[in-house]
Amino acid sequence: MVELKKIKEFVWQIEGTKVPAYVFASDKILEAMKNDKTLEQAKNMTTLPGALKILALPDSHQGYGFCIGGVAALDFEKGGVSPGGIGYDVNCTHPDVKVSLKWGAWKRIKDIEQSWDKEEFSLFEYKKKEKKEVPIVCYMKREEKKEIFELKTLTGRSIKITGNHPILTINGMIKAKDIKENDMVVVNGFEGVEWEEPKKEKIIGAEDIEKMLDNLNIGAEGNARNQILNFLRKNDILEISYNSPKLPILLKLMGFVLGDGVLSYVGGRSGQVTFYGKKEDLESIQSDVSNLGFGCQNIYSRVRNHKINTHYGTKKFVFEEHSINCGSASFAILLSALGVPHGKKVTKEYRVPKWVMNAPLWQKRLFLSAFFGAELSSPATLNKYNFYEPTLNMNKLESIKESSIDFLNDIRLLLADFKVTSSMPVAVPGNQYHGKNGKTVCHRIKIYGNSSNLINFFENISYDYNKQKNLEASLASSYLRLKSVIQKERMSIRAKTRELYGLGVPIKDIVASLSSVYTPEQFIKHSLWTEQRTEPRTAINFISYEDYKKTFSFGRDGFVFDPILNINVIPYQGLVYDVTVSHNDHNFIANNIVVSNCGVRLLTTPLARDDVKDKINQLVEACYQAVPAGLGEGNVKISREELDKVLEKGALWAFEKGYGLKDDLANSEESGTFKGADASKVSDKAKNRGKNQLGSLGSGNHFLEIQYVSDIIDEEKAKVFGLKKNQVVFMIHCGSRGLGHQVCSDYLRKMEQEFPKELAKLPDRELAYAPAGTQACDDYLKAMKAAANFAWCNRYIIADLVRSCFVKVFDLKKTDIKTVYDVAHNIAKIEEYSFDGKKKKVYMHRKGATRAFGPGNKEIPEKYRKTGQPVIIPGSMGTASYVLVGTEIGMKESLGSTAHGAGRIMSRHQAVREFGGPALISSLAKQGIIVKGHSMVGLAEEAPGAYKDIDEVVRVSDKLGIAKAVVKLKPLAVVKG
Amino acid sequence: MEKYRFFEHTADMKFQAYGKSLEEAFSNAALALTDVIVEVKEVEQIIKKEIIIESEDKKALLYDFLEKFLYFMDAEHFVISKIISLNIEKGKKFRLTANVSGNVGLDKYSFKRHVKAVTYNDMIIDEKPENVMIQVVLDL
Repeated sequence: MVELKKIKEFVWQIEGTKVPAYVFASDKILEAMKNDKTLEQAKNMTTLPGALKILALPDSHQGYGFCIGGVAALDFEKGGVSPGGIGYDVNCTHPDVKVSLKWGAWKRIKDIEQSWDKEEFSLFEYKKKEKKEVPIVCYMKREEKKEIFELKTLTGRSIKITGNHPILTINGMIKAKDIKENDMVVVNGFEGVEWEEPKKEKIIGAEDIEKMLDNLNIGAEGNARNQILNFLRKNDILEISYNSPKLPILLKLMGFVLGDGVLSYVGGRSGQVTFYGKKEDLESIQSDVSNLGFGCQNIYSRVRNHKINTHYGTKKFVFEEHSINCGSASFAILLSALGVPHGKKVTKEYRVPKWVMNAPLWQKRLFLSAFFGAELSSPATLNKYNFYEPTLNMNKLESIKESSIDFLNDIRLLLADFKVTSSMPVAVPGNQYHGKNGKTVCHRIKIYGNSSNLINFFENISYDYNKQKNLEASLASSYLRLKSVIQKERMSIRAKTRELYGLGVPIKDIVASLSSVYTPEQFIKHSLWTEQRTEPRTAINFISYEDYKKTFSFGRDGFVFDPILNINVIPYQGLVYDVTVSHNDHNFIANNIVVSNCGVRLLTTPLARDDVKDKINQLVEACYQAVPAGLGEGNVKISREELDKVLEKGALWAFEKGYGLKDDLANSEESGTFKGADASKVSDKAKNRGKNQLGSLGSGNHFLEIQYVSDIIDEEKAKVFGLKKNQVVFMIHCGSRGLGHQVCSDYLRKMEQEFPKELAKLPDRELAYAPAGTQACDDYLKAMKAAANFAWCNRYIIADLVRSCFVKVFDLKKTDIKTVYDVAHNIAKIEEYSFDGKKKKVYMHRKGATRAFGPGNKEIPEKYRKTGQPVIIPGSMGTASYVLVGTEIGMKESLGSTAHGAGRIMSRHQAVREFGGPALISSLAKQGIIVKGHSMVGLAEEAPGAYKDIDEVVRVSDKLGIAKAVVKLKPLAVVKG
Repeated sequence: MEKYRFFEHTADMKFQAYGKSLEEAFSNAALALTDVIVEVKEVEQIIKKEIIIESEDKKALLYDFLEKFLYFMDAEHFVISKIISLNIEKGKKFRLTANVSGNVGLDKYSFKRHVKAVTYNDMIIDEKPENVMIQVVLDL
């Protein structure tokens, strides 16, 4: 039991502690605090080393180690700190730049203006060094009046972009204008084919499914039949036309089944589809099957002993076979209707379905590449430099061998659409088997092996569902491009040699002027002696394919480093385009305390309450779409490298990327950048958790609220803050998301392990700390600052996204919307206060407490220096919020701090029982408040009744004078996680 | 036998997980954690993962074990729904190895609420023969 002594109205001292600990509360609030461990935790905080003063603010409630609403000043020398978030925006490019989209298709950037919000963009995920498909969240075009940069690489790739557009290089992202010759840029060997709008033409309908059921006579009558049809309809795969959203997946799966899959109807009843392949490839198939809406079994592996009799004798071998099985009758019948043969393919006559032959090129690619992933030989070198011709074999019963030839010719026709040439089907001598099914013969086609044909094949078609072959194809195309460049150079030197020699130039002079690494003396001399070859061979010292891969490849999806050959600055006047793709609380550590700079940001609009009435629903919907919440990922996807910049620069990073306005930065605690942050002190684990969360709210008590000024309490200060009666404002309450929590956990665990003796003396393991002056303390501070920067950047970006919604819905200018302030309420900072008349530097831990600096403090923006800083206190969902102002009294009595919100009084269970999500929404709606949330349970748990009365919390702060009320805000609409 | 049960807690979520062995109680604690976040019954077992954790004591082991799943959710969108096997050995440190399965794509399931962190607050590991109880408070 914690004993309290009343010092004066609203101030209580905790008795029996070595250092002073005060509770700021009214009688009503104090009763609530006594119901949980708030006071006990405040008392525990006094046991921290170097503790000088501990406070529990009026909104305090039970936390971990620290109580939430707790403030601790720990001596800077004797104390310590206790711990308790790819993508890329393409900036501007030339209109004709190709952007890679989903399904191996590309479009010119100028052509996605109408459809960009439905596109997925393929980007390079830096951490995983992989390609990933993510939605585009922003599309911009602007007029360029001056110039554009054209970068050409050694392998003959080029791009036109504006000078400030960053490009991924071996040294990270570099702006085009700063790139120099020979800089290594990252390119991908795969290009795909141009996207084309598929027609609405029907491929199959319900009647085809029914016909197939009849033909197969598989006993799906009456109800079973309807179940199949309904299931397909429900999953949007009936009927199917060329523009059905799920057709691309079906094309891939069909291609694969025709290669390494089996479609069968066991015992004349339900159908099933089995896929054979490598584990990693089966996983992508599994995910595609489930995206269609069908279930799939786990990957099944077994060791198989094989014995086959061939022309050359009997061969025995053992291998591990992996497969997955989809036992859905609907899936099987769908594939049958689409033209996939069932049973043993070797015994069946079939062609490439006609409708595939008539599909748009990019759809043909999906079918072909998945079929090749299963069936075509992998890119491989015959010697060091030359590739085997990719080969496709097909076995068939001798009696129906014509079917093989027809099918292979279909494939050749498809290849020809991509301008890939191949050989006629020929019977393969020796490849004949006498098996259970009878005598089979093999026919074969080959893709011609000249470099340009192979490059064309590897870059535009490639292999799907086969990571290994796909990777090889991308790398091989880059290698072959490089080889072609050298070849061309050798050809031109050879021609020149002959020309000069014809003009009577002595051979030694020719050698002197033309010899180079790839055209040595021997080559030049040889050029004159022989006429037999039109094309010179590959230079003997040219890098082998294996060495090329070792030296130049990057990641697992076929990216390579490609040196810049030249850069041209071309005068350019016209439009340039840009897309941004989406991909993706506490501060200190006296454990779990403050890591993540949870905080609040408030912005004003020029609108009055009445102006928004009619469009509020539209506005909320726009915000709900623009700002992901709940488990949603953020809309700002960044590379790992950019994440490091976010961690070190905070909101400044976002400003540099074009978000927000300069004043948004200035009107923020620390100007949105906590100096001294070090991204290298943040673990990979934390970065992985946060990498996709920038621009997202999260859940719990975090929210985005549209409010209006309901009461002006201090007219003069409200004017300085830019607030008028009935004015519409919006507030963002969130933090550093998963990244911050992970930083906190990481360091808590680290401190526990590094300082077990110190820990043993503490009453609560969650109070683990790092003593001042230790490496761990220093590292933690740097990591915490990095997490705080993530949070500032996050709120800054979200605010700008909401601003854009207002601008769109109400036809405003961006500058009409201004930031009042952004304050953290979970953070540790080094500050200076007087203790017993002596000034001391302390580690200030504010865990659920808002900084409230009074007038004259240098830490607050110029604009507010006369009044004191704005202190933003969010209420719980659907209740009022307040803006207060920092005071002199607060600097003296409450360590420049005040409450940060209402503080819970009711458990989540109780809240759910008492309120319930839907009931809550309608009750708020009756008050004219619109609520949108991602989780009904989450909404009920955050019901206003589960919190202390915000008015009471603010009343205590105001009466005490530690921060004075300026305006009261009331909600119009809430978006919750 | 009851696997786990949730308790009243002002700000956050407290649960107890039970088992005949420490291993079983750990497994049930992992399911309880998932159940706080999504409707665990909806989550299919599609993807398998192996987990290996070493920690200095049992509470730290529990903390690290549960935290792993929060990491999976944020970083990989992977949510567990089954512990296939779990083994705890005591050597110089405590070593936990587990095979778990679940699925990726959190948004497919009914989302309840996000968990910020695992805490040591009120953490209990009560081991009696044939009757182990684990208590954990989660920071929401």
